[in-house]
Amino acid sequence: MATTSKHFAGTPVTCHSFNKARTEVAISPNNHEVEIYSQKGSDWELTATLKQHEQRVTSIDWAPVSNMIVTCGVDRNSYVWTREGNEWKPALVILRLNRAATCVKWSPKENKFAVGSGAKIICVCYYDEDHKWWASKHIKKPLRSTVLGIDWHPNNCLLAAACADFKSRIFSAYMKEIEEKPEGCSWGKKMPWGNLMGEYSNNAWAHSTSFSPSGDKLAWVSHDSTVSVFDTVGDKLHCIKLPELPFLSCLFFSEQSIIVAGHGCFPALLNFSDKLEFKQKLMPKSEAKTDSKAQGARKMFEGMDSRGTTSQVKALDTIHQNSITQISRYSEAGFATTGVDGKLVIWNTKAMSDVTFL
Amino acid sequence: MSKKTRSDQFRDADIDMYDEDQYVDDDDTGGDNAAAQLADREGRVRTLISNGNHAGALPIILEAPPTGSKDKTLNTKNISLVLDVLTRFKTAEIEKAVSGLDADQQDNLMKYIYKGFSEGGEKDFTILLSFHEKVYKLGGLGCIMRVLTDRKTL
Repeated sequence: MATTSKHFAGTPVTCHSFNKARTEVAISPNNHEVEIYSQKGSDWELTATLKQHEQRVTSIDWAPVSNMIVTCGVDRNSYVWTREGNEWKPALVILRLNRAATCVKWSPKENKFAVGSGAKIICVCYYDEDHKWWASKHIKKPLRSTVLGIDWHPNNCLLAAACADFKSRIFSAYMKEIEEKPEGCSWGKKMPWGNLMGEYSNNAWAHSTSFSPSGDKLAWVSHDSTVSVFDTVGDKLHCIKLPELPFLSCLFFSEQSIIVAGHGCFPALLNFSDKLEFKQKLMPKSEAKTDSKAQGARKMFEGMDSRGTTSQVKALDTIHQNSITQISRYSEAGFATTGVDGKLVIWNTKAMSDVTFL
Repeated sequence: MSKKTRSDQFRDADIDMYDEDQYVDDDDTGGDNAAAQLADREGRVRTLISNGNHAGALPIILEAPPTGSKDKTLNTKNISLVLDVLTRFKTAEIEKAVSGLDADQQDNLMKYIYKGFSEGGEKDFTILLSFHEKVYKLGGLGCIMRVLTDRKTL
């Protein structure tokens, strides 16, 4: 399984986002800062640090075309960063929240973005030309708890939300002030602002949600180790209960494949044709564990010597050594994961000869 | 003994009733006829048990737990019926019985196992540990997560 990885200084990576060319990546090392790394050969080099948030940054999204970065954090604020030369300039977004902002995502056309929050509100933000600032409109009803994950439909209007009140919802985020009226899609014909287009119950809080590339299906993961897909073809909800630890992030990779990852420290592949099917865990082949007995013994004595431990601290046989918190698309055939172990891993599905992606 | 200096009556005040958008769990359906369901189930289970067929009784007791019911006596009655069936098993029989269950039944069984642990009491529930081992083998950590996260408690 071909992967490349980068280990960031031993702190958890809260979130990450790549630029369009995938030559730069923005991460937050679990604090109030956002760090930008540029690819230098096979390594990544720190080129900029964005300091404006006062508390932990929870989410980053880098717009591919406009090249603007939007960040949000526990300090209830969100900033839109634009590059001027080598500097990144922040612009405050008027969110009007009284709880932490949890997740942020640019819409496909990049004319607006959505921020999920702990205030039972989703803010949809747009650039107000008259006042020259980013303003927001709120979606409140019927959210009854924190919004943990959001994703945009490819039509730039529908917004999916994974909520802590045991529901997954789809809202219309069509703003008549700034855009053309959308045509009907498989989720409904009329899409007035804030309209609830779909609502699905779970047995636990949902962590993350993702539309399929066509937008006709929606997948989400919840804390009861369940993966769910709602398919508008046939209007049917498909759920699969898995024997693993809960998943924190999901990505609808192609119309037929979903990648999920979470507390189990490995990404897993699910297929969806007429029904949802667990395909396999994406793990490195076992040759990674090459410790012979002699090396093992040596390590044990080294451990006794340097750390005073008598038993070996065994590494997990997954690439990530702790929970994976985010999956993002890297290329047509690749995706990237970051996690609590501070690693950024880029997975190339083309090279996964033992995996069949539909 | 020290004298109480302040009233603690405020602890009983239901402050949530003044919160307009407080979180309320969705209403379960089926809470009403839970008593009838249980009586029916108990009848079937008792017949099977008296014939020594507790393995056959296992899937029946795992059908639709009365999670929607607010009636406490009904819930205790249901749990004691389940535990009665489970404690009749011999360790060697468990694996076969559990492997015949579907995913929902496994989840329900795991719920009862944890409920049994918390009830404890006079009876010896060591058999539950063997059940736990076998269900865990099939349902994995996900099965335990579902017990922990489910709001529909027994």
